[in-house]
Amino acid sequence: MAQAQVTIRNLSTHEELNSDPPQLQVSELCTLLVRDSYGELSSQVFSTLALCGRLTSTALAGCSGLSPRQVKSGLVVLIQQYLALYYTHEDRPTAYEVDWRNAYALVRSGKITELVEERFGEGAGQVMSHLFLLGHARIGDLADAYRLTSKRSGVTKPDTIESVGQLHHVLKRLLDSGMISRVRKLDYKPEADVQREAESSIWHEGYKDAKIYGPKKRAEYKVDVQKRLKTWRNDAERAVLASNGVHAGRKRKSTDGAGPALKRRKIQGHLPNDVSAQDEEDDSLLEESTIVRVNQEKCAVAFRKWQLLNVVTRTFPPQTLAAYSALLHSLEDHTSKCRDRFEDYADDVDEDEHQPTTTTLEAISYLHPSVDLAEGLSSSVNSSIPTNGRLRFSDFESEDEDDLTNVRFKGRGFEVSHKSKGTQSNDLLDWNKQLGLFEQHLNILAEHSDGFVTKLGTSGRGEWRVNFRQLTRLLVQMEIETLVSARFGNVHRRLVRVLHARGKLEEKQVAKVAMLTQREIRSMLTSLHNAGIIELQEVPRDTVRQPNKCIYLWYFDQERCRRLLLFDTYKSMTRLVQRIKSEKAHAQHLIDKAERLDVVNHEEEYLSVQEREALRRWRDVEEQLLTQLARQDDVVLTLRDFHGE
Amino acid sequence: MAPLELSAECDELYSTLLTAATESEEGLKKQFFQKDVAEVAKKTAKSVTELLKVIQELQNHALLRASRWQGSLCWSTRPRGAAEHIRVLNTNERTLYEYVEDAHTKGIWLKDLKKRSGIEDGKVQKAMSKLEGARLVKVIKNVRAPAQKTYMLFHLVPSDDVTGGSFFDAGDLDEVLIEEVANLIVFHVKMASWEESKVRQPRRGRSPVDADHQGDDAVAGAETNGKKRKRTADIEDSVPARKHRSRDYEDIVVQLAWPAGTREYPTANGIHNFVTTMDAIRASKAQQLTVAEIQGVIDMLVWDDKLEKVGAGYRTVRGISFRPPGAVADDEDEEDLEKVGNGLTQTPCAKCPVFDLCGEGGPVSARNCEYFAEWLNHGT
Repeated sequence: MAQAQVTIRNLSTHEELNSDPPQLQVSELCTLLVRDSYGELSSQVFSTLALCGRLTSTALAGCSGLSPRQVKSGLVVLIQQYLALYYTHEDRPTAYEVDWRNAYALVRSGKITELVEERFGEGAGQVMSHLFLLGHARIGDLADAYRLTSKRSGVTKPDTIESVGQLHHVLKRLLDSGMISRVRKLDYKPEADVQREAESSIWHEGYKDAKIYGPKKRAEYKVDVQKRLKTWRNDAERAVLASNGVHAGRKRKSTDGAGPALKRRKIQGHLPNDVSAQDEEDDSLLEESTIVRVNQEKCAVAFRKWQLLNVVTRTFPPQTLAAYSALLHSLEDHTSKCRDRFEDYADDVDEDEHQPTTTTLEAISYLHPSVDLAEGLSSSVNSSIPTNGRLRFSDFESEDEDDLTNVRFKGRGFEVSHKSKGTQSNDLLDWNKQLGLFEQHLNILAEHSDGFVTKLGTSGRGEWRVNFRQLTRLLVQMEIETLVSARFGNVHRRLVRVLHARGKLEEKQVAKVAMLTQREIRSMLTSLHNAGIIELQEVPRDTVRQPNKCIYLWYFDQERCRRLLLFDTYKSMTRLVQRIKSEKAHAQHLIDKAERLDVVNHEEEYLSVQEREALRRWRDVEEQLLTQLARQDDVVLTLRDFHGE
Repeated sequence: MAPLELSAECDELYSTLLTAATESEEGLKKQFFQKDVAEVAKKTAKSVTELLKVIQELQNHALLRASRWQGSLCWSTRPRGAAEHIRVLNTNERTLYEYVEDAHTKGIWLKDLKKRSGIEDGKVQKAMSKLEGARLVKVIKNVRAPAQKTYMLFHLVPSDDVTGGSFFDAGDLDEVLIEEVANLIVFHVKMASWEESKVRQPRRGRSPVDADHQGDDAVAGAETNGKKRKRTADIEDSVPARKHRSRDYEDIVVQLAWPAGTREYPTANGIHNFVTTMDAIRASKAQQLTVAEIQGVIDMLVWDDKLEKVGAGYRTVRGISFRPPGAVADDEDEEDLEKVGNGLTQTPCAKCPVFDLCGEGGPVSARNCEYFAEWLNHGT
């Protein structure tokens, strides 16, 4: 009986979760973030919009109790930052709506800046943080703002931006990599409106006189709408590329024959100093009127690489890790977002079959030059790859003459970067060996049952694909399991894994497979069930549905768990931000005192030992909380962004 | 009832059948069809009527048991001792005994006995306790229904279905055995999983641990003397090195991966072979262990992140080690590994018992949270 009751209660929570978008969980967090970044007025407008949903500006004024003037100025900030979207339908008044994703992204700005700094240098990081402050910016305006700030700071570092040319160079690299993108009109339209527009346009074209009958027709209609949405988005992307795009707006001087390899290295910023200063400025300038913003989707792709590497660290040596890192980096060029919502795949396998591919030759150009691939491999591998004697041309079978020269060039470029001596033939030999080792590392990864990489063919010394969809599921599962083992214990985690691997099972079967007694697992299953991690299904054996004649099946639903965990994470993040606020209020008088002009730089004089101690504690606490916030954002990345919800 | 003395020729026939039965794979369960019996009884019974007579006599002495197999009549032998006991049983007891006998190594529930025989409750209870007293049947524990009383013939060994397999001891899960077998498997698989090389290397100013932490893909290091040396390849591997800090050299065990596709990692069959032929487990137990049972332990180890599947075989997860024999199970290492957690589990919120109640303006909020206070003070 008790079991039956639990089931009913659980079913109701299940429905709640499915019917409601995660607005309640997010709105509190987003409002706090907006308040922290843009002040009280904006956050008030934001929270009203968040709680009431779509509103016109007059209605907004009414709901929030602000004057229309205040509402307008609040909205301006929100729109500039993409926190509010608007839509005007024919002659009706403009309606406003909040954008959860962008509001949430405020918490990620630090992380993205750090990422860009690591890849493109400090100057690029600065540009990124400016863009975060401004929301979006005309390149011309950015340049103006830039000169002001760089003058003010007065410190000149080798990596900072001092001329317009440098700024444009950095922006170009960022645009090439996709970390920033041009602003499109579509960015301002709420998703629902775009969807409706697509629906109505489809309706007018193909379904004008007929109604949509039956499930088959309905599915067709849905596919059509998705297709239309995808076309619109792609058109918009192409349009900005054509009008003031990277390739249209400037000419590339063909000074070097390196082609893509060198360009990639430049983008990656790995080669220490061989990108000369003149090289940085020789490209023509970008259009001043181009408006750019940070591209969250592409940044998530870069973060996905980080997290996958984190997983790989646990089971593979660092050299294999480096090889995998190079492979993922080369795939990044072909990936603009973690998952395309508008693509229609039959299932996960189908989706993974459409993932981009790369080759050993392409991937190795991303390998960090200081990595010695021979380490971390068994000595038998090292001896099996030729180290002396003549170069075996069979190793290049699939290459034509052009490719071979390319290989040689790349090989030398690579070798030169960490070995200064060596004749040409030795370099080539080394390069050949290097390729063999690189492939070995990838083979070891491919051999693993988690399928970190899949080998497709032999072109380009091996063609590779990473099954991101499958791996994302793995990452999600890992987050769930981490939570289960932290909250309950390792044995609970085993139960969850059993249910995940075997599907729906009776208690008896669970006990048998998990090699535990029924007595032991009963309480564990119940506590997991109460926490919403596993579910119970009752299958009646007859029409009477007597509880003692029912079969009770336990099962694990990853999708539901993912949402549950995501909401918990949002909520926990909210608590962290709130705690920062309350801790700050605690130390406010000290902070004010320390910031007084006469106190700054004279802390020893004006502040007592206790006061300094308290200030130090506050800084430590703030740092701890902020660090944790960033770590929780990692969880959100996995559960939401990689998943492509 | 039955004649008191068994005729000599019947006795002889019975002995032949009994030997044939015990020598056969099925043992006492071996069934003899009419032609089988006729074959054996050629000397004594020339015709069918004679054969019938002989069989009847044996049946009366309870030495043969008649049953049906796919529509034709057949007989199986009973041990002499049991037959003697049965002869003195009354009808009820005899019926019940036959039901228990039919159930063979599966055993039969008391409830089913009552239902099938149609004998009233009290009588069944009484008869069964008498049979038990005469050591003809015994009560066994069925793992599938531990609360039910299950009967089985005294001389039979319960089947795996009833006992739950090798990992059950008198109806209880033998956890110690599972643990030992698991440990043995990890030991065996580990030996075949990685190429381990002990590397002696001069200590450098920077510890290898620091080097590995640099960047996400940067591995620091320059080659010495143009000869490639293997350095520590993993943070975990380098841990033992700390013990030798004071010396100029440190010994590091490095687990190196075998090249892909060249190695046959132990499969479930191979592991089963190893576990059963090793002397670590009592011979009778080792004989019982099936490949499926070993596969179960392997699955468990995979779920516990100790083994990983590679191709058709298994390999230990890097850094996993087995427990030396005799050592006490040490859970601390595992817990340490788990403590890393993710952003959520590191905060008090993940384990907070009042997480659902927590909110601004509520009885519990981030402002007055005790767990936060403790966590923050602990950190600073």
